[in-house]
Amino acid sequence: MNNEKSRDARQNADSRGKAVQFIGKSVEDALNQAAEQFGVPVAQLDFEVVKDTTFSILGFVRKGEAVVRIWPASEQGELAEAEVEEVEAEPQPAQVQRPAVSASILDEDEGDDSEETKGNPPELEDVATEVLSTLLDKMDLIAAVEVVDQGGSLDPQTNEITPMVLNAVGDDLGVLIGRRGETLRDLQFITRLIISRQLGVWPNVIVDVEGYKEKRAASLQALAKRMADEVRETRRAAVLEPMPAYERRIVHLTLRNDPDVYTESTGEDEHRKVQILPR
Amino acid sequence: MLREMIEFIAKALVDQPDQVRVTEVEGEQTSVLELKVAKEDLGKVIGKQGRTARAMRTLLGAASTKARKRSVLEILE
Repeated sequence: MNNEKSRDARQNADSRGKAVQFIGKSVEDALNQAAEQFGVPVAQLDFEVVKDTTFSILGFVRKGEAVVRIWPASEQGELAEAEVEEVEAEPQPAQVQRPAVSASILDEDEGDDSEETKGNPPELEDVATEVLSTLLDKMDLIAAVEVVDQGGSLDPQTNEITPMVLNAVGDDLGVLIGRRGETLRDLQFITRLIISRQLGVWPNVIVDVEGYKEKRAASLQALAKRMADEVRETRRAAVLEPMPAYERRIVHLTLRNDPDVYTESTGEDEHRKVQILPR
Repeated sequence: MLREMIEFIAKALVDQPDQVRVTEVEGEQTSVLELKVAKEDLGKVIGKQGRTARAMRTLLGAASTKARKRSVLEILE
């Protein structure tokens, strides 16, 4: 998948001028460096992800390094002249929280109502944690709420701003997940609804319980790849179990760059399921 | 205490929280939670296509599993 992207990048290099490569601890980090270097907001960068750290659907912590290739806009003539060069990130061990993409755009470009400005307000962490904790307490559950991910970075897989991820841990929280995660879906809905009443915006926040969604995402990715292999071999479509929308999305995203298969959802409402078909 | 959960959610969603009343009618196996809100706020606790009411019922069901007593939510008009 990544090889194919970098091949595309090389092919496109001629028409878009010379590319400059940035290496960072994450794609977001690399993009932030590029934006700083060129003095433009991240949103205006023409970039290609050469190598991502780890595949991450929900925006969980990434490891390793990421490489992005930037095509400087034509106005930045002197940089466009530069050979493809590698700009190494300085080792920044303490810098786990780089300024989020959305935040940096807000700083430079207030009042712009492009999609990236819909970043989460800074109070979200406190408000969301408080709302979820209170809700669980009223449900008579003993649980602690942890912020797994601050969100606000750019997910190269979807080109969207990653959500803040809250995770509830405690005793006997299985009741909060329910059949096919239905209870968890409603818990997330109510939590978001209450937060939106307090903050005046619909929050980009994911509610998880005992890491259920994270584990589920990993097993869905594995399932999708396994089924894709089967479809590749047999040349016959495979149909997965009915799943909620965000789970179907994980399957679609996992296979969207597969050269041999494509995915489609069929059926209505609760019976909607993903089909994997040979190309 | 499930009464408190419904009260917390309802008060957080409406424009007139002081008009929110939740009364618990205890039965032998089932208790009924009756939710009353200001007329103008009815839509807020029901939601689009009943989504909010359904989510409250789901959470009530989950919480009452642990309490070993069935609870149902009735929204009074």
